[in-house]
Amino acid sequence: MAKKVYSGNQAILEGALKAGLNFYCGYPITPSSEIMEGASEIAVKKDGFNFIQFEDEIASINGLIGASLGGAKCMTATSGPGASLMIEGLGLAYMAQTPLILVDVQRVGPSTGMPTLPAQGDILQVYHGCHGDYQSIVIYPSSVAECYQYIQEAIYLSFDVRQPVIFLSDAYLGHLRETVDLNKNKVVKRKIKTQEPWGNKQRHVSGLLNKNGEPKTKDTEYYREYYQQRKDKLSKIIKDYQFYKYDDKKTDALIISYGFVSRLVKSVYPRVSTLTPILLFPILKNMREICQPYKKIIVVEANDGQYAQIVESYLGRSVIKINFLGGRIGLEELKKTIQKEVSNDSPQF
Amino acid sequence: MIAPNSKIRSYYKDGALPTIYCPGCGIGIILKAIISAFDELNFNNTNTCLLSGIGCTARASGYLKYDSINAIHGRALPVAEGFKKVRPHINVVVFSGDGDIVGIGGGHLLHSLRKNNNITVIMNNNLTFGMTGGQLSPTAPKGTISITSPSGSEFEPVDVKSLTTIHTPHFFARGSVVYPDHLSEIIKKALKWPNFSFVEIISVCFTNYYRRLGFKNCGEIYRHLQKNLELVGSSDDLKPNQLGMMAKGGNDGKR
Repeated sequence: MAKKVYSGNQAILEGALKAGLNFYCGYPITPSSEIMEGASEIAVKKDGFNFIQFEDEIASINGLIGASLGGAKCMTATSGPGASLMIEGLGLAYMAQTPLILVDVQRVGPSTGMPTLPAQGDILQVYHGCHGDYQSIVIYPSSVAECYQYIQEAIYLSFDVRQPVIFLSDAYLGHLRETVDLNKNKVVKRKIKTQEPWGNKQRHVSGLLNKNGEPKTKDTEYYREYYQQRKDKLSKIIKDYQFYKYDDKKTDALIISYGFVSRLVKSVYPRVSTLTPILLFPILKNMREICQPYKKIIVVEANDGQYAQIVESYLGRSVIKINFLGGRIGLEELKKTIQKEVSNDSPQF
Repeated sequence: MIAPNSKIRSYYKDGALPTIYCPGCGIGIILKAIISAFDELNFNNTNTCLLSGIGCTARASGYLKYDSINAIHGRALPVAEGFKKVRPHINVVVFSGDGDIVGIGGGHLLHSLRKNNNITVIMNNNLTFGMTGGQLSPTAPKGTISITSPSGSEFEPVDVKSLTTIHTPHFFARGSVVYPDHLSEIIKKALKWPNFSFVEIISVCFTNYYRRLGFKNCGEIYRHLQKNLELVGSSDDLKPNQLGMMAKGGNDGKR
């Protein structure tokens, strides 16, 4: 069957399996739990697929690091509060150059917040929640088919750069059911360069700054060199992973939105230029180029302007921030808010 | 001192010596005991992975010629669980300190005990947070004076023995750096145990623990420990000052 009906959460799991996922560990949390439940069933049915339910998210991310060093292609899924617990471990995964996928199905927060309603409040958390300097990679699709497609790309990317990749979703997308055309949403299969599994040589990984396993904890020069190398490597590889949808309607305003919000924007303003970044971070290489001709840049998101402030500082010009908090957005409300914010000199609104 | 051409030296990486450890530290003795157990059981670098968290003890994982993972503070056990799941045929040995295993990582220990996978934990109990300067450890006796408990600790220490023997089958052994041969023996038994095994080692931190209790030199501490610790062999219930082994359960180790 080339067509399947999946929920966003299912599509993430199915797509990941397609790219070779063979290890899942995690801790249940609404609205991501279906991914974990699905993975536990796969572990029963499929040889070579391993699954662990851990005692908490802290253990889960560390279990993932262990499995990744053991040669597995691994993933965990959580929501905002769980992602907060995992962020310390992400630092180790980054430092130890361990490929893994962290899926964050966002809900309204902070804390328990509104666990069954969607939000986009974890953008800055996953962008730079971890201590220290590092380059984060964040992918956020906006449909079930894209979940299926881009989770595969996320796995390939993670192995290409050898670092964790954050895959964002939201309560809306996670529970939305849509048809996925498996042939249409095919991803070019890439070769995954796995490291030789740990346990048979004399290698050492550590959260410490180290050069070939030897700690270099007081070597400032080496730290700078190391950091620049990582940055350059990512910058080179990410060129092949510039995922976005740009719809140029020759209007004087451009709406930037992503995830579930981009779907609403598209249906309210089919004749306005829109940019939907799927790779949120690192910021798209041609973001500046795309935005340059527009008089107005409007960033619409379901948080208090988290992506907008990054876009603003990246472009070096102010953008109009349209924010929807609290989980529910109606089409009428979206239209009214944008009309109120954008002055009358833009007839298309 | 490790003799240049000795068998023990051959297990250390070239750049590993001198280690970061203070004179009189117990970790060198523990490493020697671990190496002799590895040597005898043929736990070599084609079949073994060492894991550790953060602390003085945890640094040791990177000194030996094995694939090793120096994880974040307290998280060596979950890393070990994840690794063991995908590489079940590799021997997994966790070597970390008391703060790491029963302090910050205490919650994970409960669950590793419950899962009962074939992982050996060797806990260097030096009764203090050595690397950060001698703060109160959760295994330090009530009344212990440290830089974060200047009027003496108010609490009873974590009862590691009771905790790790709560399920059956179980393997718990306690050794000390003052009896290195016994230490090597119990480590060997723990490594051979088919399921989760736990070794607690009463160790010595002169710089950040015993010195503050008024001990003048390491000799004094080692004599003090030898006087107070008692070797009992196998037992059903080890008292806090007894060194020995508590192993219970079928040979297949299945619960």
